[in-house]
Amino acid sequence: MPFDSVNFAIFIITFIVIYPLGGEKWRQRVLIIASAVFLATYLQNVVSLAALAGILVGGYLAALYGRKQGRITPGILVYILFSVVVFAILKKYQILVPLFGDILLQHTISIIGYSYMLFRQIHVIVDASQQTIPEIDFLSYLAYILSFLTLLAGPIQRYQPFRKQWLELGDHQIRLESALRALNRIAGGYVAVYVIAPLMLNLPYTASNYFLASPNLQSVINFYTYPLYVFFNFAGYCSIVIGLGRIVGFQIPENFDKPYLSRDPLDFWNRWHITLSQWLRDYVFTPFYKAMMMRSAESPILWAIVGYFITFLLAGMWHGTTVSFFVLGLIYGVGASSAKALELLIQKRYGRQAYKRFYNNRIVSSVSIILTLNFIAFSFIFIQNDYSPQITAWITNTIKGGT
Amino acid sequence: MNTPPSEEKSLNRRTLIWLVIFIALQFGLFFLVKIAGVQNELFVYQLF
Repeated sequence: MPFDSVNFAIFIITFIVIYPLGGEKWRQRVLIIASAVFLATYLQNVVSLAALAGILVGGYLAALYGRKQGRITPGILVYILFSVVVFAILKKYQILVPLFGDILLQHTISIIGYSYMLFRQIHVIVDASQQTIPEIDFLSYLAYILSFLTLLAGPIQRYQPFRKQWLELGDHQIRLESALRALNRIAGGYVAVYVIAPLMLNLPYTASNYFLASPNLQSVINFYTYPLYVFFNFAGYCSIVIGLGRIVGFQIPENFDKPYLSRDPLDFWNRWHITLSQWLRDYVFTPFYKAMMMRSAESPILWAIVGYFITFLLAGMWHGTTVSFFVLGLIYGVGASSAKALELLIQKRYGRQAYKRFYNNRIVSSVSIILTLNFIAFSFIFIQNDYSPQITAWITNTIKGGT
Repeated sequence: MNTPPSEEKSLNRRTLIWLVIFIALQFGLFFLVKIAGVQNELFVYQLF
């Protein structure tokens, strides 16, 4: 059910009319039913429904088990790893083909928003095991994982604030001014996604029809307008759901903070898809860094750099299932770990204060922004175009050439 | 009760009216582009 469809307009108007008619329990049920209806419009077959049910119940039982144990046991780790493998199979990650052949990928299961469900599940399981989730119940867990507000593409709200707001839904009353502010976010989101983003996507081609016949110049314009297209599309979508969330009674976290003014690739990830970056920090980078430091505490810098590389390699790979996205991950991994390495190197040689002065210098800052913008625009080439056949052919030729 | 975050200042009546107009304009633009067809790149280009 696309957000610009008539069906969605009917769906959301019906929801907003029915939702405030009752108290806490009513609103909770309406939200769950609405989320189920929204999800049902994307489910293609009964097998997908059965798989989704298994994923939801499995995650809930794992969280309950973890909470009872009070720590992350080997069983919990195995379950998380199993969930990631199931995710890779259901999403048909091409990287599995050389390992297992394509037999595992020949299925018809398709679950919309599955990657965001997985992020939320891992967060709930880990936090429940670490006792940082005070209580967990099936209905709020179900609403948290499946909420139509954030099902498709985040932002990734944490369970703790979600459950608090979930329990206060009955008290939620929105003032006219807050409603207008929320509506303004929604309207701005619609303009960003459906007016500005397509304009950015089409600009290189429409402009070339009028003034620029050169395909090279067209590519240069596309190099800079495509990142703008992605930004307006994604940030606009987030604006719509943040606004809808405020009307319903959820404070969905912000996901963007002027990302194209970032001064290095790590800074970019602190400003772009912020909730994903925070998730990666908490559930990939920090556990890896801690585990490595427990094994060998003598090389904190090395582990930090390796940790950033692995974290952002995964971030890139998550964007898509083909080999092209593996290359995207490598680009992000190299970018983030190089930025950290450079920061640590300058700090080690000249001291923290000198680094701070260097980093905040106006000229350095301006050059850094331009370089980072070009780095990100370059990485987006691998999102816009699938270079998998060329990359695979190159790897095959290199291996053949080497033997 | 979910009230707006404290950093959000209360708007006066005049600003609220402008906000309503701005919201209407934004939705109007969205519907205009929708009716013309988002795929119609020429329209989107000429619009600006």
